[in-house]
Amino acid sequence: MKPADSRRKPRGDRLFVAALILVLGLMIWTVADLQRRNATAVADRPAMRSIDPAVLQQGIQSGQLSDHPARFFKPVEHNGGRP
Amino acid sequence: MAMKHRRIIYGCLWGLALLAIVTGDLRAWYLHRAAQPDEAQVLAAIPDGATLRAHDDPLPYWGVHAPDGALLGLAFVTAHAGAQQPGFNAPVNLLVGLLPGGDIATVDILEHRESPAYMALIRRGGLLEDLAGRSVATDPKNLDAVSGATITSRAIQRQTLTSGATVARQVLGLDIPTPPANTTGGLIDVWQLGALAFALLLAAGASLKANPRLRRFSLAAGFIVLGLYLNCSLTFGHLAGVLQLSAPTLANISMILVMLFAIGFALGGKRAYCRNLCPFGAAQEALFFISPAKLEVTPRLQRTAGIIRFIILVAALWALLVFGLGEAAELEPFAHLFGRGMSASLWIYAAVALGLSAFVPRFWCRFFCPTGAMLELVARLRYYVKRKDAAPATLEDDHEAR
Repeated sequence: MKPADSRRKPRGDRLFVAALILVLGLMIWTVADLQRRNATAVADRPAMRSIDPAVLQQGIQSGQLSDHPARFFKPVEHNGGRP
Repeated sequence: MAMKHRRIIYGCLWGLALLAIVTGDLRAWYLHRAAQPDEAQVLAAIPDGATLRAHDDPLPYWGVHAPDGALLGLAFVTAHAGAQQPGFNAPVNLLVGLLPGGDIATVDILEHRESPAYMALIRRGGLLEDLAGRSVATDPKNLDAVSGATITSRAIQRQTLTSGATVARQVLGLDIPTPPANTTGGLIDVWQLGALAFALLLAAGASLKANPRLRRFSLAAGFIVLGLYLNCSLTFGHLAGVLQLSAPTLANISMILVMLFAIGFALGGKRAYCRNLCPFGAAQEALFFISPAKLEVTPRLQRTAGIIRFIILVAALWALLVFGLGEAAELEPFAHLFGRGMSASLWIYAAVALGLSAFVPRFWCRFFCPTGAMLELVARLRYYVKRKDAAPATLEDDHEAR
């Protein structure tokens, strides 16, 4: 027969492990939630950040746009010198 | 866990942490060199833009044109247009779209060295959208900052308006004055500096004298001054910024002082910040003190669970520095609790993390806090280097001794 105080310890241990798992789960959920909210933040919406891919493709195919990254300090005439 | 096994595990964690730091620094260096917008980004800076013409006189900018060749607006990078405005760590590099009349069309973040948590607040807070549609002649003092990321908000607003005014004058020929200089520079005032110095001195005294009463005063001062008044709790994001060789600018002198205090004492083998100053630690200790119910947990299990925070630290370092997952800098509930930038999930997370400390002392600090883990690794470094047998006391040792 075990004394009463030593019987309480395993119960405390189980609750402690459950609490650890709970906080770990909440941590993962919170980070995932933040990631979702950041990904859909207003600044990341298509109207703010991107351009219609069809317009880009049209520009590249017509030669008005290059498909290389733009460079600083190097004037590039993408549109044949028109103003 | 046997001492030998523990040493091996800590050694592996140290190695993984160092590898993440070196890889992260190399990644940051590469991204800094490659920070240029591509054509799609530049075109998107002006609505309905279809073609670009790049110029470098009088400064680098793009003319964004309609399909028929009409000029719709300009796009420029703020790093190339006028004086740079320091944020928390460094100036934020922005891509700005400017309409011919001097109104801002769009603002986008190209590159920054701010804490990812601040930048996430700014993106969610709609700061960039608020700038769109405003004239570059707007007085920055009339704009609202995002709560919890005030210094970075002000830097972005001022950077956009001052560089926009420069481009409007030099390229568009508009008569727009430069916004007034930021005379305060974001420096804290005398009252704030005095309160911070008081809290730091109390914490230093409590650490050097090992006086329990002084320690309670110090924790109370940390909670009020660092938490409620100044909102400058040390977080994993701040320390990760230092690891990426990006220290706070003078615009945030309060954080510089807190960092110097925490890292200085840790290098001396003491965790003075965690034990005597941390606002979230103070809240947990107060809750445990008034709580009538305590959970009995075997010391061996607590000691074994103590390694969780080191695993979280290493995982967060890899996620943030190597894989660029900015949200990893936001996994500490107190960063938002005192910044008042809370969502429902963060409220639940913070409430549970804090509430459990009513039953287990310093529940968050001892088993989860990556900031405390990093400071403890630094504190342990001194003993590894000096080859002493006795490592510094851990937070578990503190609680076992009481």
